[in-house]
Amino acid sequence: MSTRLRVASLLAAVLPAACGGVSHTIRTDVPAPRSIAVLPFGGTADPELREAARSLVQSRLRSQGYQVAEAAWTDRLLSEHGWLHDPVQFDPDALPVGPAIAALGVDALAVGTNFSTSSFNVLILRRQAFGGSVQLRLGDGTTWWSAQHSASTLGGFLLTSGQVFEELRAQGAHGTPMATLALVDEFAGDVAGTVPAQKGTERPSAGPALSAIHMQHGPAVAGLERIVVEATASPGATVCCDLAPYVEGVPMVAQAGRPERFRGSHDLPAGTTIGSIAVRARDAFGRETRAEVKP
Amino acid sequence: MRAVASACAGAAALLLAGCTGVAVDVRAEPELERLRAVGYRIAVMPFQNHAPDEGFLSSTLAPVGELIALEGGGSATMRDRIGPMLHDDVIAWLAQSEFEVMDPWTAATLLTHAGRSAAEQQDPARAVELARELNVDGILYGDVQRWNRSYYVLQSIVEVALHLELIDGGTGKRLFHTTRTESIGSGLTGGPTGYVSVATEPLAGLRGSHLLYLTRSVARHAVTDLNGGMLGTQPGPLTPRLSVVALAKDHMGPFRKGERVDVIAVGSPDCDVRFDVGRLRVDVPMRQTERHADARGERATYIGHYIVDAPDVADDLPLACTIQRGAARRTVTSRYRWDGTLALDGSLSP
Repeated sequence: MSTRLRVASLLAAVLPAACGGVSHTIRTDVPAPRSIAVLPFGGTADPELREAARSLVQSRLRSQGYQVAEAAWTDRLLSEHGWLHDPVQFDPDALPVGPAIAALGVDALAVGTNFSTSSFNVLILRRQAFGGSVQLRLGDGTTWWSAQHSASTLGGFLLTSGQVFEELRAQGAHGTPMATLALVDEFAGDVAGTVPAQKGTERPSAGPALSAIHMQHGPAVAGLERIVVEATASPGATVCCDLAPYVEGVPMVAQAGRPERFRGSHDLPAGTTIGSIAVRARDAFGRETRAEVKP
Repeated sequence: MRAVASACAGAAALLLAGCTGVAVDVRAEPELERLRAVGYRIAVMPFQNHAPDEGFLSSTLAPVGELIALEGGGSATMRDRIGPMLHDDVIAWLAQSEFEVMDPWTAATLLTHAGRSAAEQQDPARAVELARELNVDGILYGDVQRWNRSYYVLQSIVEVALHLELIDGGTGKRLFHTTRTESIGSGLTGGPTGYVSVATEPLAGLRGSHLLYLTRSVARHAVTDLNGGMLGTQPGPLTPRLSVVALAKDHMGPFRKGERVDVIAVGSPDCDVRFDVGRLRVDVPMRQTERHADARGERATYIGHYIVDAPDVADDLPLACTIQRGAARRTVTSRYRWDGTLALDGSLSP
């Protein structure tokens, strides 16, 4: 193959991808969801970039007026149901949408798939891209909205010979973490911009309920005694306790058959005097309630 | 000959300075870093728009249509949409920062119910009152100061400028301000390579993609300024590190009810270190048990444990530790994974 032909083939492959906007579809015959849980994004892109994209899409959807569940809350519930093991290897397509929506208590799931990055720079031609697909899937399995997009920068002296200094600057920025992050931002902004704004969402203002905090000491074993804290909180909340002044954030777990009753355990040296016990309950949307008792 | 070379170099430098550029006027009070570290909750007020009318990018500039289509906004004028657009961009990036941000919808609703007019919400002199009403530590104000283009036949410039200002809700003191102006020049200063490009590049420089790029860039960089020079996804040289993350004790089979998952980590001293068992149980606390002198600097050992309860049933869970300076929930966190997975089965007795 001659050099000219190779360059032409490369251009033919790169240019259509670079010129593409957001390709999206939306169902107008079904009501728009109000609350959304954004799942971990799948694909071959670096896990940190996928997580950044997820976080930015969440923020954008929230700005559009949707109630968007916190990522940690979503991930915990997915894990508790056995649907999420390792976020890095999460395959969103394998998730049963209906049961997951019921478990998470939201109207729709934002499912991100096929996230990938690409980058090359041979001076005369350079391209860096970040892209993937995002869908909003409803409980009945239908897709209310979907978008496919690749945010990219395309340049090189071959294409931008009209602005040499500009291209020199761009060559210096190519592939830097900030340039990559800018592409992720561009992706999230472009994609979320095609989701219609949700203006009718009512947002509850009160945090989760929290009461009946109780602590007990287990028997001392090998110089340690087990402190067990129990509390009643709104089912589904993320609950943890602080044993002041020694430890903060011991996870508390909803008990089988009693989703409102949470229990957390922690070992401390036998005879440790605990100043106070604080329990914090956080709901899907980040509202937090805290209660403190003396042991 | 040398004089000619110097003149050429000077001209090149001048031209480079005249094209795409960034101008920043930023000031952060010394206490802001400490406040960020301990956790600082802010509310972001609606942004003002004081961009000059002359050369204001309006809908008469056709290429900007793509931007309008992307951002939505109903029948509002272009000028009315720019403030909310940059406001949303800033909010999105604040999620990557150390600040905890009050939900903008909740803040707007509370202030409306309190009878606060739009002018009052945008007036920094009322920050203390607003912070008290919203129960936040500080109020962030924004003002779009440039959203303009200039076209001089052989040169065009598109520029966006954003001013951010953080007022402490307790004292009314201005903790931070930045005025960031970013521009893209096209034409002569870009280094055209032919007669045709001299004529076409200034026009091409007015395309909407430049404006969109600048809008996002200004918002991202302004929040980076506010966050002390980096965002959550960009660990810097001072970011604490861990060199060892492991299970403290070998364990065969799944961890059963009442058993402890003991985790050990070694890394930068005096940090907040926690571990995650997959995404099932996260932010489990660890405590520093000893410090070691090391040729590469002092290091510390951290240990922590999670006690398995009956509902904990999961397998193939990765183990990861996070380390951050200070205990604020949003400070820059580094994550390290253990090279292995573990299983929990709380339904089994030990």
